[in-house]
Formats: sequence, structure tokens, C-alpha cells
Amino acid sequence: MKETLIDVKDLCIQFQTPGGTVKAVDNVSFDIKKGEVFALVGESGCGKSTTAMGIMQLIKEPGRIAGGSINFEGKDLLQLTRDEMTQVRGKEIGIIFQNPLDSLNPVYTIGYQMTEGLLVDKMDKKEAYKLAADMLRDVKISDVEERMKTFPHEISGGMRQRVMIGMMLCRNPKLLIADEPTTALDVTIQAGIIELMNELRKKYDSSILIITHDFGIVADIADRVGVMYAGNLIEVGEVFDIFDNPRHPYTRLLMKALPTITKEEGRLETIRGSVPNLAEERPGCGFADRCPYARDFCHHQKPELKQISEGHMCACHFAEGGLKDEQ
Amino acid sequence: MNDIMRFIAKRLAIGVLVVLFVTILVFAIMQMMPGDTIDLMVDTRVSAEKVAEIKAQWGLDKHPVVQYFYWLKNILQGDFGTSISLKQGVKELILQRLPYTLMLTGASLLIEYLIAIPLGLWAAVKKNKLPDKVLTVSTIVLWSMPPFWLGVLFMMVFSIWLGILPLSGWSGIKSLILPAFTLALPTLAQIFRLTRSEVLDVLDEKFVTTAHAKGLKNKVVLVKHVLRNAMIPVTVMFFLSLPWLIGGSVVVENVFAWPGMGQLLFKAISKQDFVIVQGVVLVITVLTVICNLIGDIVAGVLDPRIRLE
Repeated sequence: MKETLIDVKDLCIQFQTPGGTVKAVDNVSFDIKKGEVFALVGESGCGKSTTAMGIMQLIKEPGRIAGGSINFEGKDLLQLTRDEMTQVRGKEIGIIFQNPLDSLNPVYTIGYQMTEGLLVDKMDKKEAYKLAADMLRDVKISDVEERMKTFPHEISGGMRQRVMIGMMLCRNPKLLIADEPTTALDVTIQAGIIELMNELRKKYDSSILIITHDFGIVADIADRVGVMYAGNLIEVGEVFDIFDNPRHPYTRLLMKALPTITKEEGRLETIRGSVPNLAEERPGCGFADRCPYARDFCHHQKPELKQISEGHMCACHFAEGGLKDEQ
Repeated sequence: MNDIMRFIAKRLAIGVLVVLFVTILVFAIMQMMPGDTIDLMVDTRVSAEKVAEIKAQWGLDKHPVVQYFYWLKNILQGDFGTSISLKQGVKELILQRLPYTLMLTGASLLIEYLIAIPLGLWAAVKKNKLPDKVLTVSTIVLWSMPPFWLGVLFMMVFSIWLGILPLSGWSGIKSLILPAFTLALPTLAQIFRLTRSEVLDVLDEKFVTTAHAKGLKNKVVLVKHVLRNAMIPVTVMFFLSLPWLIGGSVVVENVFAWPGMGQLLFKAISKQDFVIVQGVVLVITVLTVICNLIGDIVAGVLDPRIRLE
């Protein structure tokens, strides 16, 4: 069994809005082992990106971390002072964002932005430049010397995302968070980025937390998967368990909704209804309104995340007994 | 580099046309006003023949178009002409006044930008908290105050009641303080609000989150990433406002009897002395064209996305 790198426990992130307190992330717990790729999946607005920003403590107003702990190598990140957390960012934990187009500062050259983080470590300028150039070669950018002098708007979106990855990896963080790293990119470039992350992970032995709604990416890269719904983590397990034996009704429906080439019929399966309003108090299971298996008590009794087999956890009242198909 | 030279050449060529057009317009407006300088200067007892003779002496009997071209021909030779009402060379008049105007506007620019930019940054960072609210409200008050009123208020408080600063005119460096602040405060409010809103816009940008995620200190992020980007429009505004400040503030210079260009222009208009008016307007227009051009070039330097074309 590998060592745990980061252990997120009961993380709660709330947003104060005029419509009430939105519990964007509600008692989410998971851990990532050293060298492991953990994927958080779920539809838009389920709180997966907020979880990532919570780990980095980059939640913007009116959001705040309302509770929980994030244990990273023996220290609780939520107990650190602002300056201490600044030292964790970039050095211990790196993050790349969904949209590479505006994640780089338009007025500075690639070289400047690549070396900026390295210079925080009091590194010599020449050394930093060399390291940044090597990193750019690692993320498969050609004409590195030339690229270091260009501005972000002069290169393509895929290349910008490679620069972002390089920028975040050049200080060799122990954990890399990739928040939908390929969503804004072409499908052909997507594959390249995922392949690149797989390679770099082997080379630098960092753990990766990848956030996506694309099960194709999950299958490609992840070791374990956490499924989020309406701010809750509803199922966690090895990637094979989740694909072959999904236990939560939501995960099952998600799997059914995946388009496959073997399916004869042209219609895509969809999940009826929509995500509940997170500002409302929900005593029961968040998925109850859309769940085909829901019973009365599902609406007022919240299911806990329980272990159902080795390494497989699920938050559903029927998870252990199994679901009878009755639609 | 070649591109930039071509850009500058093109803009200067257009600038020459703009300057020509403005001088024609101002000349036409001056001509349209009833009477002329001589009519305003002579007593009613002077005979009509004598008046006509004086006018002929100054060339005022000629057709306005001819007069304009005389003026233009002289300007091209560097001769700004002689003021009819003051009987002094316009170039000398302008050169006498310019240092005072530059001093006043330079001081007020310094006050404006040195105070407004840090305050704008601070207010944006403390958005909706007490400092932001206090600053936002107080700058609205400043912005709404007409300069002539503010000037008179300052004179009353600091010169008459407290007696610590000179009332008006020029009698040493202390004289600069009141007019400089009167000129600066309303504009300061404007620059403060521009800086604040630009900083707020930039704070929302993804690259600021990236900068934080890289592990940069908050101060470094604010200055190097946020302020650096927010300063682009502020700098452009600085260059756009320069010509007006060099032209002198007509209102503030008059309130404080400041011996600058604004006062010269004001007096010349009331005396219909078109030679002075044309000269001052020419200086302001040329400066406007040049400052706009410099503003564009500086914006291109500050923001690599802007292409000079």
C-alpha cells in the first residue's frame, strides 16, 4: 500500500449569496496516494473545481472554506498562515486550469512567466532560464529559445496549455491539480495533453488530481475515481470498479449516458431532471429527485459514504443490497 | 521597426491635416463674432476714417481668407505674429506664459497620479469594505465640485481664514499649492475611479489566479500582474489629458490670476485678439496630435497585443 500524500476530510466550501448559503462542497473526503492519479468527475456545478480551488485556498469572495481539514504530508493546509500557504502553492501543489487562453498574463513573455515561479526559490536567473527551457522541451514545445521570447497571444491554445503544464511542473510539485485541462482544446490536442501528463507523471513521480467530466480521460489516466454530485462525493473507487460495477444510481446513469460506437440506436441516454438548487436545505439524498430507484425515505434521510467493498465507497441507501432495475 | 516608423509617419500626416482644420475652424469662429479687436479698443469719439486706417495698418481690411493665408504663411516661417491688443509678439507672449502653465499642470499631474493610483489599487483590493466605501464616496464629492468653486473655497480657508498661503498670482513656490490642488482634485477623482475599476477587472482575470497558484507573494501579484495590466488604460488617459493641461486650465488660471496660457487665451478671446487665439490654439492642437501619438505608441509598448497599424 502506497503512502498517502493528501487527505481531504469533511471539506465544506460555502458561498454567501443573496439567495442563501450555497453549499458548493459539502463534507467531501478523499485521499490521494503518492504517485497516484485521482479523478474527480461530475457534471458542471457539482463542486469539483471548487474542491480543487479549496485545496489551493484560492476560493474567491463570497466563497469560503467552512470546515474540514486538508492533510498534506503531515500538516493541515487549512491551519497554515497566508505566507505559509503561499510557500505551498506552486512548490508543493501546482494547478493548471481549464482555459489556457486567459491563464497566462498577456503582457509578459513565456520565458518571464516560466521563470517567475523558479525565482521565488532564490534560484540564479541563468539557471532558472535553463531549467524553464528544459521544461518546455519536456512538454514538447519546439524552438524553445524562440518561444521563450514570445507572448502568450502569439501561440496556440494547445501550446499555451503545454506552457501552463510546464510552468506548474518546473518546480516539481508533489501534487499537480489539473482542472479540466483539455476541455477548451481540440480533441486531437486533448489526446496529446493527456499523453503528456501520463509521461510527465512517470518522469517526475508526482500525484495528479484530475478534474473532468470526460470518462474517456478518466479511463486513459486515472487510477481511482471520485464521483461528485451536487457538492457531495457519492462514490469513490478504483477506476475498474467504477466502470464495471458502478453502485450509485447516478454513476450508473452517467455510464449509460456515455456514447459508444457499438450502440445501435442513435439516441443518447440522458438523465432526467436537473441538478438541485444548492442554496436550498436538502435533508435527504441530493439525487433523490432524479433517481429512478428513490423511495420516500431517500428524500429526508441523507445516505453516508460507506465502504461496500475493498477500496470502493458509495453514498446510497441501496448500495449494499444492490439496485433492482425497475424503471 | 519599419512598421512603427510607417505608423508614426502616417499618424503625423493625418495630424498635420487635423491641425490645419482646427486653425481654420477657430479662425472662422473668431471672424463670425461681431466686430473685431480694433472696434473693441477704440473710443466712440474716434472718427470712422481713423478706425479704417488703423484696421488697414493691421491688415484687418482684407478678406478673411486672405488674412488666414497671411497668418498661415507667417506661421510656416516660425512667425506667430503680433498681438493687436497687447502690441507684443505672440511667440514671446506664449513663451512667457508657458513655464507657469507647465509648472502648474506638472504639479497637478504629479498630485493626481501619485495619489490616485495607489488609492485606486487599495480601494479595489478592499472592495466593498470600509476604505473602499469612504474613498468612493469622497471622490464622487470631489468630482462633483466645480473647480472655480473649489478654488474660491481654498482661497477663503487657506489664504483668508488661516492666512498660510498666498491668495493669487505668482509670488514664489507657495503660490503653486492652491491652484495645483484645485486643478488636481476633480481629475484625481476620475483617475482614482478608472484605476479602481481597471484593477477590479484585472483581479477577475484567470492569470491572476495563475500567479497566486505559482506561489507568488500577494504584493508581487498585485504590483507585477494586476497593476501592470490595469495601468495600460490609465497611461493612455494620461497622454490624452496632457495637451489640455499644457493648454492651461482657463478656469483655474483665471480664478487664481495665474500668469499662464489659459489666462492669456481667455483675455485674448474677450478682446477678440485672433492672433493670440490662433497661436495658443495651434500650440494646443499640435501637442494634442503628438500626445495622442505618443499615447498609442506607449500603449503598444505596455500591451504586446496591441499592433500599431
